[in-house]
Amino acid sequence: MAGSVTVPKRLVLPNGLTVVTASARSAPVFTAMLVMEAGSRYDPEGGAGLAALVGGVLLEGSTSRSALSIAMAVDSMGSSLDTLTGYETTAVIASGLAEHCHESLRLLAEVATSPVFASAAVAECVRRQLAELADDEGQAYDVCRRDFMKTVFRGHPRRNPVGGLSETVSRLTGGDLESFHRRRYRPGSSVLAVVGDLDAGELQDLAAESFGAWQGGGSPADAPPAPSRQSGRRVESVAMDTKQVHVSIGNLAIARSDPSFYATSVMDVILGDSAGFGSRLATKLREEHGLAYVIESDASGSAGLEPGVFWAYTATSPGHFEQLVRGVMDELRLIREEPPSAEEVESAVGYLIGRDLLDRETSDAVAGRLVHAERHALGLDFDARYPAIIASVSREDVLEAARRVIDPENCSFVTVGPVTPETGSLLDS
Amino acid sequence: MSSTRPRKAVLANGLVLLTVTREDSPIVAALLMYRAGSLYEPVGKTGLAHLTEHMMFRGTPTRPQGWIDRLTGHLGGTNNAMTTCDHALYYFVLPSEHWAAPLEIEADRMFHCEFGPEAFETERRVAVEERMMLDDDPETLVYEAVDALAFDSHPYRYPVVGLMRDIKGLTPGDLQGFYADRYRPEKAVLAVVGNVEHERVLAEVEKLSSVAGPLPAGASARVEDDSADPDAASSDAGASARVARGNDISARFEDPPPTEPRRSVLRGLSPSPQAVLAFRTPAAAHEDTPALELLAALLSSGRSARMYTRLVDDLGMATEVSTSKIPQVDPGLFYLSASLHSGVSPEECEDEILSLVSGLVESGVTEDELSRALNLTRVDLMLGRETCLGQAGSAAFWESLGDWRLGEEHETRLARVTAADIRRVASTYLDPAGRSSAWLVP
Repeated sequence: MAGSVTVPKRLVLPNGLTVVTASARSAPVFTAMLVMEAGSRYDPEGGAGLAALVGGVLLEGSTSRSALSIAMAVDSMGSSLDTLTGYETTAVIASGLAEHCHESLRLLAEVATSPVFASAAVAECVRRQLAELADDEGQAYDVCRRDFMKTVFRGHPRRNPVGGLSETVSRLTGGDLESFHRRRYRPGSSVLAVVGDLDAGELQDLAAESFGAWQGGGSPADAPPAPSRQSGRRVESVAMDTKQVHVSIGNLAIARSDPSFYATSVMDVILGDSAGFGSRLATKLREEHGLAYVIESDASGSAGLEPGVFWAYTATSPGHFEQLVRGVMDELRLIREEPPSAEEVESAVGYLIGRDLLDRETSDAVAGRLVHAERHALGLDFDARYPAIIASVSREDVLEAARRVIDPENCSFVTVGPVTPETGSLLDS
Repeated sequence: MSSTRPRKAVLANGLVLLTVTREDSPIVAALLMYRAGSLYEPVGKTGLAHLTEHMMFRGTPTRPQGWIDRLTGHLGGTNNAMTTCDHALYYFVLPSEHWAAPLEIEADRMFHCEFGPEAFETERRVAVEERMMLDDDPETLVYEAVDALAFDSHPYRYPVVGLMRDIKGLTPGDLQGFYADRYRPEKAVLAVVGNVEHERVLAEVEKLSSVAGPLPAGASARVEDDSADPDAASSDAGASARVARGNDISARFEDPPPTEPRRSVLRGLSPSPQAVLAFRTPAAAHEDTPALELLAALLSSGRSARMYTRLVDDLGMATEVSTSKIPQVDPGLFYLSASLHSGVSPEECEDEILSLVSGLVESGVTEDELSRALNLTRVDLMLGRETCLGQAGSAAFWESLGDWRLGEEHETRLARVTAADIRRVASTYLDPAGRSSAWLVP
């Protein structure tokens, strides 16, 4: 698709909604993605899970249609209409055949801007969200990730899962949902990206027609304070009757706007996020020693308006736990001690430039990239500039980034599994 | 010029090459699919196909371990591999100019993969860790349990990754034997999709085959240029007649469907209950497959589907529902699954699902329902082919069954399915007496 995607067009509607469109002709499909600054970042104290719940209720009925009527309209076209809530945003995403783009945009606008928070629907969504939270308790990976975030973000709202906690979700009411929707679902702080097998100008017209009546200006600037780095190590062990011990190691890292973001991307590839099993962690611990099936790390992927996390994750049998953790810690220290080789940097840069191209193959991927570029003020020409930016990263830049984002002396270390490992000596070895 | 239809060539060594030219794509996908899935494992050697797939990254005399991943990354691409019940498949997605690189790699490891004892032991440790990871996933275990119930002797009853005791008992010799038997050009389909020219790809593959494999010197490829003959598509007597070339094993298995309900209850693995039902269904190329696929969509695709409206909306019993009819070489399974709210008994849910199916058999389905199911299925197929890799996988899969045009026929047949067909296949295949069910009970 990348070759057939036109240069994006950008338009700000009179109500403040930013619309970015691109024509993509390789398949007769479209994706529309409306992204609001309405993620769990804006959950009130004691109200964790509210943003996700509002997102979930959107499809349960609007002022003019029931949930079933919405579902029938979507399914009849063979389209999809879903919502997705993360830490910073909630997205409503429609996709399907290009011939149904207009009708799908109208539906998308309707569910996002005119939901009805009927008490029965809210109660049912609360029930479903509680069930999902309970289900997560049975997945060691989910528990390990959740408790890692809780440990890194101790004292900060991001310590809570996006889906909230059972004790907070069960207290939420329709009034809470309505209030959140009124405050956060506003055109002036939202981005709509539409990509598909239509003319980009036509897509703009369809967007304007569907969303022109949405009123409300921008959302209030009530984000929580930026999180701060931990001081010292935090070690948590969760006992669980599993075959493997799941391990998370990491710390608060950088925001997308951080000057070291691109060098961090290169470091990620070298350390734990490469093609296949070519990263240092995978090569050393999986390919050479067979200690784990999954071993990976990343610091740039979670960088947003706020700093994300450096997160290394692996899982192994209890008998390999000690050797594996020592190996991970050795690699974390090594990448902070000396610059990577020129060959490693050259290879990582090549990988990132190629992956950037590969990431533009589908309409939904392109739509996601347009939203990302808009939210982070990267400019419509970012795709064209990216190769030069990433190619300018040097070995010293990578070393500096590693020292900035990886902090073994002040990291969080979470294990989930059948044993409570003695970790102190492992981390220091 | 760009064409959405594959062009095909059969090399003298039996390798089938499919290419699809997408002139505007800056990306190329190369996918090599061997008929080397777990279906072909000897008794007591589960996990053999999967471990062999792992070993394909362990190197050849000219490309040591790690070389493939390093080159892939350097070229700005991705690669991976996967083993299913039927196939082992290997793929690369790269910027277009590097289209020849994966062909060289695949030609090399098709003939020269090494199974040294040290590398084998290391990779087996990785496979053991993968098995343990799956053992920690209740969703995986409930499906493994229902598969084991639904078949008595067919290899589909075993997990692709293998049983732990079998994985630990495998030897380098087992892998060498499997590799020699299954990793052969006549048991493989290579699909290349992107901004490539068929003739250049064919020339490259021929050259590589003559260097790396048993292509007799001077032999030339036998070329079938299907895209030049659009009328050749969609003839029921055409592609279907060529089904199952190379499907050289299924006749070994005499494994009739269950005649009484079978049940497995897995306790204490998950905090949330779940019910999974499975019914035996025909192979992918069977004429009833399109109707079964639409039946699956009608039951659970979208929020207006029958299982969703009944179990999630009306009864508040389930949090999620799903159905699937996985296209497979041999007769496989039709799954119906529901993840349940705490306190809901899987038995109660199973009864509801059976009641829903019997209602459908008794009263049939509406034209509106059928139309929704068809539209959802067609859009799914279209989105699946949006990427070069998706299109390569689809073409290679149908070709591995005998002819890539089976995929086109399949879509033509989807459009011809009637409400009566849906009712008939539901009655024929979703017989409650033949069900196998597995429950997760907290």
